[in-house]
Amino acid sequence: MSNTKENFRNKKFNNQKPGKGKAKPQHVSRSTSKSQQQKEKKGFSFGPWAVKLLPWIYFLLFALVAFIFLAVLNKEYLYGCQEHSIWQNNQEYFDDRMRAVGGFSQWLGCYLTQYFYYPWAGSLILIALWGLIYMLTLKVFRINSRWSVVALAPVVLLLCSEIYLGYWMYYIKMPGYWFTYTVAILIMLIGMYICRLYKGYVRAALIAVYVVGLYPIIGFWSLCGAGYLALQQLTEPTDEAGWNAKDFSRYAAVVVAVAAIIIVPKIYVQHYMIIRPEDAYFALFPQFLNDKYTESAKNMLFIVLACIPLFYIIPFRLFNKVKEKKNTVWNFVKLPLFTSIASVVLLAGYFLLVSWHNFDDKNFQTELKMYRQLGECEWQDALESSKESVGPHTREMIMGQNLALLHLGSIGYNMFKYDNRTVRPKVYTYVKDPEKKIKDDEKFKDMDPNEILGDRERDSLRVNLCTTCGPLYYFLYGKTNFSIRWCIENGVEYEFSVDILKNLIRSAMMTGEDKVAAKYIDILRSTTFHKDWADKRLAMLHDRKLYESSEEYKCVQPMFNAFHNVLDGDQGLVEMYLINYFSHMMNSNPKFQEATLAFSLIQKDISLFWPRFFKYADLHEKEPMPIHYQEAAYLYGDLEHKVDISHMPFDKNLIVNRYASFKNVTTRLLQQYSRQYKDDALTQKVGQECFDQFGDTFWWFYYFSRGVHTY
Amino acid sequence: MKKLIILYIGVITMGLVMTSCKNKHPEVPENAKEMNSQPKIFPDYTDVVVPSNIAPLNFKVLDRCDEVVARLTDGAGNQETYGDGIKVQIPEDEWQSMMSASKGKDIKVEVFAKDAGSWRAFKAFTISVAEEEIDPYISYRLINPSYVAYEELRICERNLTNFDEREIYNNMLISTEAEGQCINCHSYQNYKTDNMQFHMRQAHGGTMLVYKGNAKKINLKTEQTISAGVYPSWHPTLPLIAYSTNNTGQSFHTKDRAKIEVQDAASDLILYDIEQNAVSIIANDSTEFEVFPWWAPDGKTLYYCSAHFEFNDTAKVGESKSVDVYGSGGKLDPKTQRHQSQIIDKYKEIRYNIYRKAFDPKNKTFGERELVFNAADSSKSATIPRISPDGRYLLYGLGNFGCFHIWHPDADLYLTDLQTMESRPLDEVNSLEAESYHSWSSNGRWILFATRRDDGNYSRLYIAYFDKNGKAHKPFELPQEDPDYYRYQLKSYNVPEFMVEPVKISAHEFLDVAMGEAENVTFKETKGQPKVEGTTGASPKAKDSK
Repeated sequence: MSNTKENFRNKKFNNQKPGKGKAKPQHVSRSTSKSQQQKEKKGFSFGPWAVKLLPWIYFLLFALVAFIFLAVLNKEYLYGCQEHSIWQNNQEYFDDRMRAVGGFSQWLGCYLTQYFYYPWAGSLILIALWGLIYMLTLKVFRINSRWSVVALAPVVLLLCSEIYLGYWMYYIKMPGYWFTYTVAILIMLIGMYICRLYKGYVRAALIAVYVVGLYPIIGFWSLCGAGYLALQQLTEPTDEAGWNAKDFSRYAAVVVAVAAIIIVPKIYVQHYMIIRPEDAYFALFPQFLNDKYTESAKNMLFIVLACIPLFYIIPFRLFNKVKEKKNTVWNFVKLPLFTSIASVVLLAGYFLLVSWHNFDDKNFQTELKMYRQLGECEWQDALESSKESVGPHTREMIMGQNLALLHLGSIGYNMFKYDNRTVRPKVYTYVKDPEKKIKDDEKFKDMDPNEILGDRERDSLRVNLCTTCGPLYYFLYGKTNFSIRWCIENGVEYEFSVDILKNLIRSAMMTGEDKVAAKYIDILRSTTFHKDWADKRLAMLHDRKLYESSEEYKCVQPMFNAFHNVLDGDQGLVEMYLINYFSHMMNSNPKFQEATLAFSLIQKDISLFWPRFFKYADLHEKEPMPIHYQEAAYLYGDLEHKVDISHMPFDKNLIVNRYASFKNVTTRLLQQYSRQYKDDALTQKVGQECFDQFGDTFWWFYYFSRGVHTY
Repeated sequence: MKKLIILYIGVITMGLVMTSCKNKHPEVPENAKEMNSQPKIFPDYTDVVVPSNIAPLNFKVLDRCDEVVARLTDGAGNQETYGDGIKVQIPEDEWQSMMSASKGKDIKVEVFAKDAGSWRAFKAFTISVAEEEIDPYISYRLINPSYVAYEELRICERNLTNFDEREIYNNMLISTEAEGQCINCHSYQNYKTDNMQFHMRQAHGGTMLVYKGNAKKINLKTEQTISAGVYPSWHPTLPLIAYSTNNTGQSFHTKDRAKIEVQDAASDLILYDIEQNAVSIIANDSTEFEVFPWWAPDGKTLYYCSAHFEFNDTAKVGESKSVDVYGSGGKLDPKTQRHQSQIIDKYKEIRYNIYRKAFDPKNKTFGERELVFNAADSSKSATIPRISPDGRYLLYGLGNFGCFHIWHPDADLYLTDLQTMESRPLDEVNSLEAESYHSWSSNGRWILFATRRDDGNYSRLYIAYFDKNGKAHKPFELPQEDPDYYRYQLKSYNVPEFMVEPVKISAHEFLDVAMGEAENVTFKETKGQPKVEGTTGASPKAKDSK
């Protein structure tokens, strides 16, 4: 705002009685006098236009950084988020959302989360909403343009809240999380802005309306808004003369706000059934906990977010008093140089904060990418993606690799060509002493306390394949019932999502349960971006031949058809179940049989290997024996001498000579390191040393892949 | 800015007014091409018999079309048209006047559908309005067709005369993330709600008992019984509830459509005397699984199901068998583990018959058991016996094996005439999918049952008229305001029960009681009954999906 305009406003304002006029109360720092400005111009100073532009410059900077962190660095994650969420264009879904306090925010949040289908689009919408929040923050809390960098704090924290979830994306129970809180805070600020358009007793009445009207929509955040308004009433001057202690309307507004904050939630929760009465005040406040895991540290971001406006409000009164005393500190903080330095420091701090919160685990991103590709039967692409993540892989990635290889028909040639070294999924928190926490807590007694990942310490979150990839992987192995089971379990626990519906549709179509497949397709058709996927499935449902010509059917159907029904259970361990199941099966279906042989290699069980090896040879007569099966046969023959391998036509270079080399190298390394290392540490060291040379063989896997934890 | 806000509110108001002004009674199209088939509609209300006090039977047309007009002609010859896109939704007041005029008569429904610019007139169908009304309320539990995990469970009350649904209780009022609460088995004495009960398991567990309008929480587990009360049946007049006690587990089919097998490794029957606050044994034969007690309307006979099964206590635990036993927390004692394993091995051989025992209301004693329906001999298994209010008919579920027919697509409803002892499948109402839980209305003219016929996986409620001649009629699906409701609903309906009045205690009042301590019941030995050893002591309190 130009000085002329501002002065004109001030003049107009001064002619009106306090508390009754229409003009806005002006913050002292905005009403800088001409002489003061002239003084500033002599030294380092911002011109009026520069000051006016500052908020825009800050936000553009922020928007750029936010876009990079969202749409560039977290592209796969954002796509995964919308897959693990759902919005339906039907009354039933709307009504269901409205059953919760804050349901409308969640409904809107779920709607907007869909746009992460195109990560760039979702990111732009999010940034646009943050732009509104930023502008409203400046307006509602009367933050001077010169200090507009501080108004970025809420949106910076919201950005952090988007990208710090990591594996929590599977476990949170907050529908539309990625947009819900942005929407809620935006509504809170709009409401506050409207309330502040009025003064005196009207404002007091509006505050009551604000809480009554907005509590069902934004829950906790409406109480915050009322609280901020009350504080503003107490701290802000009502006119240029400063604090007016005799203006009783301000006290009325405070009383109304406090009463509304206390009473309204208590009344409302009597009409809601899915909230405990004692949780009424914290409805729609994010909580990172479920029945197994909790991470209070992640809530901290939102606690800070809720507290930030206090820092915007309280200084008003404080600075006002300081100004009255003509304190030099007040003059100092107004100095442009100080403002500039402080702004730069704050911007750098914001950047560091965002970087630190970014869950930058390559395996996590790769898992998500592979999962998407496996779901569309893009086997080769999934393998390429796997290669992009250098270093040890998670079990989900290794299982995905093997699945892709099985369906490509090359598992016997390539299953150890990809990195089979295992690392647990990266989860972390700010717990100081994880060992103590683990030991103290019965639930986590089986955790490995030595595994501290990176410079941050793990939290209580335990990733379970049943939740992340189990339903899809079960389906791709033809175990449709188990896929359905985990879809339902996850849907019940963490809400039904696009991903769950897709897996349910896949399984229902494979088992021929067309009616229920049609139901799930119907639901998916009511989303915004998954209609095409659903329509394709609907076409397949109506035309069996079309379905049978699909890659999915051709790959999975042989696996599905090859086994008989039994009563069984996986005890929540997907990989363990699959390893045990397949390695103990025998089958005449070549694909299924190959899976049994491959899993017997993973099982490292010699007695399970030989019958499956011979069965494979029978089923693939006149075909070359894949290299990994040769490796296993040669190794087991050498180890046990129970099976005569002398007549087997092993590849001379790849098996006979290389195995000899493997034995020589490992024997030499064992001797070399036996003084420095003992037992498991020695094995680990030797394994590390010869990984580059033999990491692509079954032999390396057999000897050096130890202590693998599945989950 | 203020002007902008006022303008904004004005625009919204105008929009709302304009929306509400659309034509509710469209014109019947002229020159529609006559079809010789009835329209395909969902829910299927063609040629059904309905009570005069039922809510509007809104439906949508499944035949390919863009627009629909339905002309309804009531019993007095009055006509009205409806149609909104491909849906037909009838205002409640207009529907009620049509039903009043059609009591004992038919409503004729003519459907016209527009496809690619031309109209077709389908063959008309009728909705017959019975003379007898239906009980105005039903209650049911809404639950995902879940396996082990559960989250939100609701016991709901539905007013059948309109679309109002109210939650009697919701476990989310008490569940925390660390501790969930499972709720189940709501039941009423004589269709009235002053005496009612439902169970709560896990967090703040116990049985919520409402007696003479007052709610309290009781703990029905005693050292002498194998679990707390499970399947309840209120004595029609006395302050008594018969329960089964069950040691229940579940395992999973790897390929079968049934998906889940829920089995009891032990079950007995107990009687809870409300005024004495004591339980006693009704039946606890160690070679029998007694379950599903149900009182005859005169209160002098108790019907129940029982399967004969003998455990081999020297057998080894079956390999690679996995079972999730409610309340076991995965840690079973060897004996229970052995039993569960045998149950899994022989799950297809466990078949339940229907028995009854005479009851002396004065002395509160039971007579010897008497076989009513031998299902096992026909390689079938009977569950959930329900006697019609006039005492003449026995309605029950019949499947190929087991006691949890909700997961058995082969399960159907069967009827036995207790006068002639003739049994027959209730073909008029059965489908290719599972028919499971069923109830009689208080006048005996309506049967309410859960079935998975819509899609094979989600249980829905259907109501069938049962006439004076013992014949059932084509059932109709519980009407909903939006015909698309069931398409998007991912919850199953189970344990549907009729009520003649609403539950008078609010969910939050139940919550207050649930938060308190449960009153323990005492065990009262019954003369002539052997002492019972509590087996595992595991009450079905885990994340069960019953």
